[in-house]
Amino acid sequence: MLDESRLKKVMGSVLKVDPAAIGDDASIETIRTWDSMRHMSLVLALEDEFGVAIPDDEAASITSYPLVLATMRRLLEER
Amino acid sequence: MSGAPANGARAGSHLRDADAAPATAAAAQPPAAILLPPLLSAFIARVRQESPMHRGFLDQALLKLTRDERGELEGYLAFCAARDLSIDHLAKCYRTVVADALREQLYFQRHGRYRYTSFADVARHVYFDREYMSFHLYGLALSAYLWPNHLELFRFFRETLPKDRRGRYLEIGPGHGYFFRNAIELSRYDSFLGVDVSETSIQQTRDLVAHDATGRAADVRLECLDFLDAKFPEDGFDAIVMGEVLEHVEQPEHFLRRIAALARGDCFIFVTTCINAPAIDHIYLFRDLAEVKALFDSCGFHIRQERICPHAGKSVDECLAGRYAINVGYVLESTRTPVQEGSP
Repeated sequence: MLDESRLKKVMGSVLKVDPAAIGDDASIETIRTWDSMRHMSLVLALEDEFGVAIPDDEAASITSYPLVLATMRRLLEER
Repeated sequence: MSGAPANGARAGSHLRDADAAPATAAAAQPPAAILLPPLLSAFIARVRQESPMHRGFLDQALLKLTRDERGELEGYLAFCAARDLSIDHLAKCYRTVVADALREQLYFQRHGRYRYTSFADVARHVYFDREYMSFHLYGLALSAYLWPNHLELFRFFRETLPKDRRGRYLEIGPGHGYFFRNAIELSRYDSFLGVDVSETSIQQTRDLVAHDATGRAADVRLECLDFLDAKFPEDGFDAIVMGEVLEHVEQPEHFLRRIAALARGDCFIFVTTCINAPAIDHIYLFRDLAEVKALFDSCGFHIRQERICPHAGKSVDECLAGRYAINVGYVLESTRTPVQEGSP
């Protein structure tokens, strides 16, 4: 079971935004600090925090909170 | 090539103009502070629209270009348009290079090494895959202006290239052809020879040179062959340029030693490479500046001039600590007495 608050905390820390402000509409379109460098850091931070490996072909496409959430849920279930 | 945006766009470095506007409205708009020529404007708008995470990086990159450089980039896009390459296609080429860079950067950060280590692997995946190589080269040519580290080394080349010397110019791995084309335009060498293992690279360089022909009479040849196996004039060359090749080969010392053997007199020797800079076709990993310098030293070269380009917004030390890319360019001189190739 994925703890969403933990997920938002990781995202907030990497993207330098308030975790409480990360909602379903949060995406690369709405969070200005979410650039290519931070995206790479986010992928690595998620892997470290949750002990999963995000496949290369998915790493570039998890560009919104719902996509990150769905991907992390699936990876944790598959673990 | 390297120094990719995946590990480079400094966080929070968006333009003030873009920041002031709603995110959606700013999506396809280039920086308001810069007047872009039409093809470049259309290209930037397309990339911005489809690569949201790349917008901040692009905005910063455009601010670094001089007006003349923006004009040159427009000229390159016009060259592509003359070959029936649409803005959409070029944006796709560029995005391919950016996506590759992100994927390889992730791999590098996870494993501490480049994905491939053998030339055969990258030859199969990149150099001899004509369709992919074409995408790759157009994307890289655009990065020569849009990625600050590539731009800086391009400027370094143009600054240091002797403008009035005569003789023979050799370029190893012209790639997209931009250095080669500039050498013909800016220098007075009598002959220009470019060699590359990729037929796609040779053809793109040939097309670029033909498109931009200035009318200056020069003997220009481009040949698809392996530099290490090629037969060259016994009395060598007066200029030898090798941009972004060392990281693509298994044994860079072989290339440098052959350059030393082919350099005659006060030969202009220009070499660039990169440190901790993953890319889909990089196989030789330099981990710090000292490794590069030690290699030059072991191959009999002294550094005359150098340009060290840490990633935008970071110091060399920060790049080394975080394993972010550093691009480096050198003008070298051979410290050994020239020997004819094949001599013991």
